[in-house]
Amino acid sequence: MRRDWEPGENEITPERLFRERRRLLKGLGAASLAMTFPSAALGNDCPWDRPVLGDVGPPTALRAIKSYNNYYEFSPEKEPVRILAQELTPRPWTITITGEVEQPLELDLDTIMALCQEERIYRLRCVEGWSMVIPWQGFPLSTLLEKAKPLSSGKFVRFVGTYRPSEMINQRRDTLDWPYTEGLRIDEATHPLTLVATGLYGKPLPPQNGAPLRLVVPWKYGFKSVKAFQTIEVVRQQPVTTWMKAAPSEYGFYANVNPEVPHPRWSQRRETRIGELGKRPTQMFNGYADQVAHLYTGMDLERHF
Amino acid sequence: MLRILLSIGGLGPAVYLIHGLSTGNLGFNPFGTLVSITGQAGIWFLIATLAITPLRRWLVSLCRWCRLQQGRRGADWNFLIRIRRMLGLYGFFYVTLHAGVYCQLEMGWRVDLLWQDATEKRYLWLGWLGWLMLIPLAVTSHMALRRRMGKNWRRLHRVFYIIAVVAVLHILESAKVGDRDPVLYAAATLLLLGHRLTVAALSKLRRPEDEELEIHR
Repeated sequence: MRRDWEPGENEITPERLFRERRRLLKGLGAASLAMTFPSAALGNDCPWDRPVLGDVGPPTALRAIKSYNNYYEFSPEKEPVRILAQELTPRPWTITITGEVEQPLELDLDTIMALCQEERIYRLRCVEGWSMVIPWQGFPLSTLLEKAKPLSSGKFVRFVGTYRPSEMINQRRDTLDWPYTEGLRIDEATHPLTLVATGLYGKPLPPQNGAPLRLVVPWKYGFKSVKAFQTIEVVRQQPVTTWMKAAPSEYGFYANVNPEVPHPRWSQRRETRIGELGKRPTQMFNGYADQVAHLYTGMDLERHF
Repeated sequence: MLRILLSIGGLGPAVYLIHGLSTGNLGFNPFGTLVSITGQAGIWFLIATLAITPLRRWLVSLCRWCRLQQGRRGADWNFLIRIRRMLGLYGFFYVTLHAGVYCQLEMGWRVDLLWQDATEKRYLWLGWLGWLMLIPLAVTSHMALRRRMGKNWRRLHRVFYIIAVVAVLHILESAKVGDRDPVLYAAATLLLLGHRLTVAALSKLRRPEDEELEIHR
């Protein structure tokens, strides 16, 4: 059975269609936007400022985004993920916000999906040296955090993925220390670029891309963007993340995209844009230096990699 | 017959890659596919090369045990040694392609960048070291040269054991969490080198004709 996020026969060149649609939308405005994406009020009318981003280049083909996935809960290999991830039951789903907050919260998925959402076309740079351009839909993580009112004692945010070995088949092996845990500093978490993604290419998020909710932190390596998360915990201390535990010399807490900080395996100076054959230079903070460089002034980024 | 089959089959991975490249059919990350397939073909051929001597030894023992001796020629399995040369050369071929793909697509043949990366990452200089050590072996693989070099040929070609270790280290160093293949390559290499060490250590198992066979080739 074809699921709603799977491409139909009329979507063999989704990239071109997508760009055509976008050109159309530019000319038409908010009313028709709401008609194209009836599930959420996509557009400029969300109650926050839209970040001003430069040209990110043409979006990667939808087929590639949905087939080339790093998602260790299902497989350490990329292409099996697309099939294995269909096992994940996305509903019912609740998000818990706890820790150093005034108002601990438990939100169900429907409440979250009813939040105002907008489209953000971001570059995604994987630590393995490849990259994509992905048109996400979602909302800034800060809108979710604000609801719980973080206390001033909360300096970091810890994200915990899902632990369901019955559905996430590679969790039956101890490839990593499950559940997947990630973290951000509070100012990174509340940065307007930090997104909770609910969909891509105008469709609900496919399971292999982290449905129902995943984090997107575009200036950091992809592994920071935890998929299918369920817990947000505001904490006092810098959390220990899954990849820091697996290989502390290779994966730091910050994991900012930085061509000057080498990784023992993959060159961080260059990247393969999926859809291209050769390599292109990697940009500092994945090209988002204007927006985020100020978060790290005075920090030794070689030490805090 | 076996040699003909092998020389055609050995080209399989290269044909697959060239066909995939020309039809745009190398997956979502063609660079990754090219590097990984050439590297895998390389290590498989190198391990196969390393497997010939133990294999021959076991086959000879087996034939003796079964009293399957059609004279010495029928049971010495010496043709395997000739196949070994082809396996080794295919290994060199794929390792060279592996390095070539990296130079072309990752580096654009920029020697400064190449040096920068090689000095920065252990797996890269290990890879280059292995490839450099393979060159003299490939050059001296010809039968005529081999005869001319006499005992020195065997001495030189013992470098292959070091190459195998370097190649496995290169792969282990470049493996990411969850990769299981490198452990298999390491285990196979350990087994094949361990076999030689065991045979050498247990002089009881040393058969004088082994030395003889190699020299008289």
